[in-house]
Amino acid sequence: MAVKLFNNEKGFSLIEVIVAMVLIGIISAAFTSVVFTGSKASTSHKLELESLMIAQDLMEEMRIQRDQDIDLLDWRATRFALDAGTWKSSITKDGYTYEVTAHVNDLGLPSIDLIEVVIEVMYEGGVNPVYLATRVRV
Amino acid sequence: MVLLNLLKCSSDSFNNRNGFAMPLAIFIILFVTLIAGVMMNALNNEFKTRAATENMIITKYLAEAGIEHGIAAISSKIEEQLAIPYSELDYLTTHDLPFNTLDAYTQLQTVDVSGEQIGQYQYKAKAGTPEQLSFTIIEIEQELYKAVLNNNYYTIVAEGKNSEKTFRLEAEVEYHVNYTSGQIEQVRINKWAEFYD
Repeated sequence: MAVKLFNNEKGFSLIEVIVAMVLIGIISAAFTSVVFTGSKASTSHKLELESLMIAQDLMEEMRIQRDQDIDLLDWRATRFALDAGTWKSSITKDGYTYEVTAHVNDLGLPSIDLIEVVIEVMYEGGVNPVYLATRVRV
Repeated sequence: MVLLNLLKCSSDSFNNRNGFAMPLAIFIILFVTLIAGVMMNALNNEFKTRAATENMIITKYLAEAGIEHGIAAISSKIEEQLAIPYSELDYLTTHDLPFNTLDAYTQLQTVDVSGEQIGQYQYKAKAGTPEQLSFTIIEIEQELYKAVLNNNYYTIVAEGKNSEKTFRLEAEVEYHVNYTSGQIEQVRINKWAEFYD
């Protein structure tokens, strides 16, 4: 049966082949677009997740400094560089660069020493930064 | 017999000389659409997982801010009391400070950066646990009268929330006070529980 199928000498009509090629072309283009968009979105998700992990690492580092009674403003000054009014640092991981900004603010509450720490991380070429924020006693 | 007919019919369809470019194209279209659908679904799941993880971590840090705020507010009230010089006339008197006198007690606190709101938190005492600071004035050294805590354990519940999720933390906090020096020596968290909605 298979031999007969391959020995079929008539083949496809030209119209059939053209229609089939056009359909397959359209679908292939759509599929390629889906794959490309998916791959791009997947990379962007991975980088956002990595940004979150970097922010979390810095938060824990900040906590350790606080627990060792190190002034958080000193920690910020050693870990980040002042750039146009904001404290920034650049981290490279797996070939990607992440820009990190640290916001350390004394809330100025009467008789309560509470400091607000916000870590902002954005990967190079990213649109939405990841923010982690907390408040700690000092 | 039926099987034979089916085989014959199948054999006829493969032996026909009309070609099958169209059925082949339709088959490929269906296959590619199926693969694309599976890919999109996987991507969507990945997106949802990442968003859920991000919200969980963000709200957890906000809830931790609530616990820290609660501990700091209670500490501040205790230190205020420790600084007050009492006399023999106050001996064995008691006084209570309800938690609603604490800074930001049960009030939503907003955390924002550069005008962008990251989230909110609030703290309060856990239902069924002490909701006030209770002190008794005693003579801790000769002619040194101090307000002494009647209870050293307080359970703080804090919620961190953003537009998507709420994270709740419960912390049982123990205060160790040195009444002679008038200082809180240690604040210890004995129990810690996390709840994510």
